[in-house]
Amino acid sequence: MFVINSPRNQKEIIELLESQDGKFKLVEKEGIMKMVFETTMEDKEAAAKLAKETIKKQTWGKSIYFQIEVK
Amino acid sequence: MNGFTATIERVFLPMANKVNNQRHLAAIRDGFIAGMPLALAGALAAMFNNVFLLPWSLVGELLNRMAWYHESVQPFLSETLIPIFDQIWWGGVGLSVITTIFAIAYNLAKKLGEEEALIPGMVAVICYVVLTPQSQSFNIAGAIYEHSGVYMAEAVYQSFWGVLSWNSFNSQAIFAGLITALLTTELFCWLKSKGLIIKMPDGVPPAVSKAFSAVLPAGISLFVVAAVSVFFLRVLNAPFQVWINELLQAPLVRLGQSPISLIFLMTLSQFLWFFGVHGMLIVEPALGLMYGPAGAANQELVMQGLEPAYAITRNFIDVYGMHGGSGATLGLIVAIFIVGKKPHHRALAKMSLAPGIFQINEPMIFGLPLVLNPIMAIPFILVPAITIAIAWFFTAVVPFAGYLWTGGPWTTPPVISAFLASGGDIGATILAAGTFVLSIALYIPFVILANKEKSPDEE
Repeated sequence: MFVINSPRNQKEIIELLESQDGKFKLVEKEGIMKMVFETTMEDKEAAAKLAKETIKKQTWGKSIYFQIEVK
Repeated sequence: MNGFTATIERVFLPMANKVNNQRHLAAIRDGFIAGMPLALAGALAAMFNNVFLLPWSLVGELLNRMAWYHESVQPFLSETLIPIFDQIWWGGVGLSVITTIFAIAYNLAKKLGEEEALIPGMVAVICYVVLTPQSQSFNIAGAIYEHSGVYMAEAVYQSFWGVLSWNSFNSQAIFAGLITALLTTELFCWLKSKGLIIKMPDGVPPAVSKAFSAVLPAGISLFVVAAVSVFFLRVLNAPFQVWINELLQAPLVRLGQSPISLIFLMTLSQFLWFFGVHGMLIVEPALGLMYGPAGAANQELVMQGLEPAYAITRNFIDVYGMHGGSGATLGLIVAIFIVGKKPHHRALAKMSLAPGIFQINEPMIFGLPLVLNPIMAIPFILVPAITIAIAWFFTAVVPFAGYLWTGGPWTTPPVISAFLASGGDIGATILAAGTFVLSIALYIPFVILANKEKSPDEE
């Protein structure tokens, strides 16, 4: 499980990650910017890194200020 | 707040996306980042000499008061370490335009889809040399004559062939270098895209084939640039570098020396951070163009034994306005330790202290959070502007603090960064400490206000 903190482009982040061959699934949203994702990948650190890289590859992804924490 | 957020989504986020994905700005940014290790090595070498090793440096002067150091250690340092560090600076910073041109051209060529980006990188460097005059005129002492009881030397200029001017490779040439890198790479890649290439038979090794495919675009690029060079030298009577410096670079650098420019750019960046947009993406190109040459010029002046000339440099923001990261959040951490009552805030401040000392503030930004926090919006956006304005006043108006002319990595802790960036200037160090204390004081009322606010789980 990992948490993405981003006040911007939340809808795009969720749609993008949930379209990655079932690797990521939104579990819940907390507060105004926390999105909790579960992952089917065994290595949670690697999953968080992949999610970050996937977001950063988008044209909008490079411009938003976000953070990922592994839980 | 919702109206503001909608405006951010509609105006600033697309602008940030555009700036971030604009190939020329991205190539400049990536080119400068690529040259950072060399620039940092050069800057550190300059700092070691000017803070510790030279006999007139802060530490060197103290040590030279001891006879044994002055007589045995200093002469050894003057013949060994000092010239070694000088040479590192000369290559790493003094002539860094060369590597910057290559790195920018290389990155732009890759963004233009060029497989063999090495060649346009080399072409850009050589095109820059093509724009540089082959000879220099020097004032050699002419006849000595007496005028009103004063002996004067007649100015006699003599031209020497095969001498390059450092002015074509130092801080005055940064814009000329950027323009050359961008335009020559665009030209090279455009010529290639138009099919102006020599195709070799299949049996020829790929490396040879790739080199041959670049012969025509490289040759035509050099011809065009050489024609431009001759036009500047013969028709406009000054090299390309001088024209670009006087027409573009110098006015922009002068504009940057107004505190209003700096405060506007920084406040805009803070405003965008607050709404979760990478503010620096929008303002960094402007900061780099206005303050990069100023910082480099200061460093060159100090290395020549002169006084730095520009009060505001790129790291002025980090040294006086960003104690602990964007928004001067180390001040907030200390303010929470002093007046914070919420257990969540105090726990977060404890956890964020160590990274904050090294200028990393994501735990505070997202943990408190600072992003989209209406109470903290005012200090988060305004504290850096206030401390910067005060620092400018005590640097440029009241000459209390020395100018910044070098610097360590961005993770250097606050106050220490001022000491290092100013070459050991005590005034600058005290000013950085003062602005840090001020940032704590400015955050305190807002922490008290936040104490009274109920968090969602308390409601």
